[in-house]
Amino acid sequence: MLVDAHAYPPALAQGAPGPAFFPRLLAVLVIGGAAVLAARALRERDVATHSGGGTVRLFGAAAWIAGFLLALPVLGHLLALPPLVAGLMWLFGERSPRILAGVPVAFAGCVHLLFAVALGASLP
Amino acid sequence: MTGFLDGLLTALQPQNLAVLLGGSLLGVFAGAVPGLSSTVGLALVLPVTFALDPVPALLMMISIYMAAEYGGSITAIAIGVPGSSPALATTFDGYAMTRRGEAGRAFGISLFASMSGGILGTLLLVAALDPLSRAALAFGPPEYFGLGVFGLAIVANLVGNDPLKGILSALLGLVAFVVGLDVLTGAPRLTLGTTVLMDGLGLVPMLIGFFAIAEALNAVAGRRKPVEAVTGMGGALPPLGDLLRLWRPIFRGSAIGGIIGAIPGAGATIASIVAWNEERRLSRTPERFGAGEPAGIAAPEAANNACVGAAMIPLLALGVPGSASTAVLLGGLTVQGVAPGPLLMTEQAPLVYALYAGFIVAVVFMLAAGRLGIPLWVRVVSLRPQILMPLVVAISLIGAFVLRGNLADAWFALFFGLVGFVMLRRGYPLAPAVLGLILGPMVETNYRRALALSSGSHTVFLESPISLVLIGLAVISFAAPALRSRLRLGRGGA
Repeated sequence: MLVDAHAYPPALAQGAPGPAFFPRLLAVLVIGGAAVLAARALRERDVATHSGGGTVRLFGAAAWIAGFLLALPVLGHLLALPPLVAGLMWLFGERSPRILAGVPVAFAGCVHLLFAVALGASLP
Repeated sequence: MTGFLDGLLTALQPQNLAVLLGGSLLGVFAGAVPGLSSTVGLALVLPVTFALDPVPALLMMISIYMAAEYGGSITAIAIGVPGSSPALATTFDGYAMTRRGEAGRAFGISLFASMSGGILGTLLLVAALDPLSRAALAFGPPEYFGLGVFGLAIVANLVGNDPLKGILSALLGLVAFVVGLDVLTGAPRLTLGTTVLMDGLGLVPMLIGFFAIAEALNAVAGRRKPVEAVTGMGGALPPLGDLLRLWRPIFRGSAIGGIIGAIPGAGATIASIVAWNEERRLSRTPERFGAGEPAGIAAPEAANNACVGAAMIPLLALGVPGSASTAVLLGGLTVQGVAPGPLLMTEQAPLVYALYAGFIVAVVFMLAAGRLGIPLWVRVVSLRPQILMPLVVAISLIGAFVLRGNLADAWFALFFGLVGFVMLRRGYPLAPAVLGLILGPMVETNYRRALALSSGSHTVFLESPISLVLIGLAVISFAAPALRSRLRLGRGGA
């Protein structure tokens, strides 16, 4: 923020701060807050504890969602939504093949009816 | 009076009744299911409101808000897990009554108290909105700057246990606000040279990311256990004896909810806990509290529903949302082109009157949804999270896209979901970040405008009594946690 703010134009009015003032102030406050946090963490030796399985599921879910967003403009919502929902349900622990197949397809249909048909939204 | 009758006629139109009913059902569902909340319910329904006119859109959102505050008590009473945080105090006595075989009576007390609190909170809104709006007409840039700083200060300090984390969360929201074109000069800031970021990160992607996707990611990383099936629940209004005995706790709870709800940053969770504690303090038999005392359900439930109407006062009169739920409501209003603030009452009077009447109708629908549907709701909260959460994520991503038809918003929602997940795990409250994004423009633009008007003299903030008081209160709010811990240390050392 400090580096980026160098490129901002000056203020339009005499005596008033320009567009760089607020980002610079925020940058200083964030750096100050981060320094206090770092000092506190060193003092308290705060160590995060996460289960390995939870981390894998978290990154798996985030990657699956990112894959959906990449596929959405190519495949369209009717084809992209069922794999998204099915994959997330699997990551959440659902193992029933009937539910993994049925719910995502029904959900994609409902989304299409609600957004594209009823609300007239333009979905990819 | 004519205005209110016109508002009632508007609220009773078939389309508006339909959205109020739908919102009430969705609200009870969002409040009752652990992991969801009124905020998640509102964030999920935002994309649907885009296609509605302002009145039905607002009515749908307030009915969700109202019903969700009640819905949390269903799970609290049935299984001892608050469906949402404002129902935390209800678990103390509600679940104890269930274990004693008095679930039906506990549900009835909760429903009646929620209804009473909802009505009293609405009456407070009706009484306070117009005078406060008139007072706010005197606000100029220095006063709005003071108001914005005060809002940030009080929110950063009241949310969560660690003030520093609250302040850093608010700073994150302010940083997110900076991204995009500067309002006064049009200069691009933090856009990384791309056009995608020119319009800013946006409030709706942040709301959806924080309150829907982050919660889902938190659940997938921790795998929330499914709720055990509950049977034998009946819903009924409380017996006349209970009503006569409980009117005082309900009234006191409503008053506490009305006052605390109107303070930005305090919110329904604090109000309900304070109401429960006050009832215990005033009771001749405080030992019964926590062991199934009906007043221990009535007071907090009245308080959290009274907060709904009260929380709308600063939002509508000043444009300052006091909680995450009202921040989402503000997002919905902004999308509809409705600008809350001092001029709302004069420029959008029919909308405001429809809102007043809509609150009353929403309470009636909440009563119906609760009275008739408690056995159903108890089954619904047993819905497995492995089915529910993926659907929440998917509808959130579609909702983020639908707002502007821009896929970048869905990416922003995912980004905020990941940031929100980390914040949740590390104990950072999410609400201050959202309020930072909302209050950032108020703080920065009014600060710069005030200095432009005064040729750079900072005394402009001290010349206005309103600005002076607000900035003083902000300083006190920032200093209060440090003073409290010093006092504690002093007592501990003595």
